[in-house]
Amino acid sequence: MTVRIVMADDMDLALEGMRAILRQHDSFQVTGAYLLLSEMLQALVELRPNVILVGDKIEPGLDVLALVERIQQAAPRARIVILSNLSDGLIVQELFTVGAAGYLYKNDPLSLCLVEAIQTVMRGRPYLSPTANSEYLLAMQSERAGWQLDAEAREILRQMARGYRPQEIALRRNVPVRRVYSVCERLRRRFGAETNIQLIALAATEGFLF
Amino acid sequence: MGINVVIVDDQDIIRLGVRQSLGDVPHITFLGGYSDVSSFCRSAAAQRTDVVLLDDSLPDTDIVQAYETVQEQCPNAAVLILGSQMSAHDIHRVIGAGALGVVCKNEPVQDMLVVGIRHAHAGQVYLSPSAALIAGRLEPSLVLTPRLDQVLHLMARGCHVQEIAQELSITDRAVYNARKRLREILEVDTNEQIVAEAVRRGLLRGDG
Repeated sequence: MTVRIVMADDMDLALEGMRAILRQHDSFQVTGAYLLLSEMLQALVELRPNVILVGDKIEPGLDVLALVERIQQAAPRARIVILSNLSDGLIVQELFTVGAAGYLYKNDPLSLCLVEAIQTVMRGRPYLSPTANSEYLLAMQSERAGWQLDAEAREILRQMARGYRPQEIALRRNVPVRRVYSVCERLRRRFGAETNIQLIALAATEGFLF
Repeated sequence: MGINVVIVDDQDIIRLGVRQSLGDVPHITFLGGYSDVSSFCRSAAAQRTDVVLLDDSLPDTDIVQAYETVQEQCPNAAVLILGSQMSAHDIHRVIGAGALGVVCKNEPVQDMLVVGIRHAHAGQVYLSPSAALIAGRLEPSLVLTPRLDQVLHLMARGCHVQEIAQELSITDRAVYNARKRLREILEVDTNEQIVAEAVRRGLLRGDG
């Protein structure tokens, strides 16, 4: 059976590199490669890919969890494999919760991992590259594990980074201010931050803010 | 006569992508890809290389240091930077140090790569459109004083005001003033925004 693959990444060199790897396998057929998320989303209905390989930086202003949700809406049956620029073990659990099937780092030896990833997700199994796997295990052992970075938390992060103070955030969201404080506290634990300022610096570095 | 080109990048898909992109280009010979500067410098190809494509984000390596190492070991090679997270400051630093161009990876690179390689080989500086756009954003006020830079970095590392004051042997009041100055310079209202804006402008890279 031929596996239909669609790829999207903000770097054409990366697309070209992946194409070179996949070309060596007769059972893989790359039916589309995109530099823009919007163009890929438009094409998905017609292309009906089995696997979507997508770089986490494809769309400025969209964090990786929102990215998976967006693609899943457009192609509910496709297996989504994320190619990440960052190594963050904690995000793995959250990614699989929102519906990703595989997770690789761009720094992995992709000439080996990419093919294995596609074959694994096509068997209906989740795939983590060996590096992602060990990062994930480490993250799960840390005290930072065990809490989902949900939509509320992501939104509060963004509002803080835009300069809203807890009282203003509470007003805008129509929740008590202690709710905002408790989400901030969990966020600090999630990112391993001492202060809200450090929290924002870490979240910005990991692409949750823009 | 052909131009001998290598790529130094820790990501194998990028090395493969460059190999594919340069494969059929007339007068350009792709000698190979290397995952770090020292393995390139030790290679047999090093002394035959005309143009080195150098990744801007090699692990634990500052771009200017990477450039200078290549230049020391291969003084005859021209260096073109392949950037993925360069700030205006980085671009100015590396061109100032002597690199012959910057091409950003997140634009349609394949054609620009060829133009950039030809320019670099001819001894001319080439900036891709994205690189030129980023480089043009350098505002003089954004080169922070060493003191403001220290305060910014300590804030991003999670230090409280008292800790920052102690670390830098200054008063709490001086820290509050530094934060106020940072808010003015970055044109923001809160301390959280200071670091978000600093990350966005590349003032806090890799060590936040």
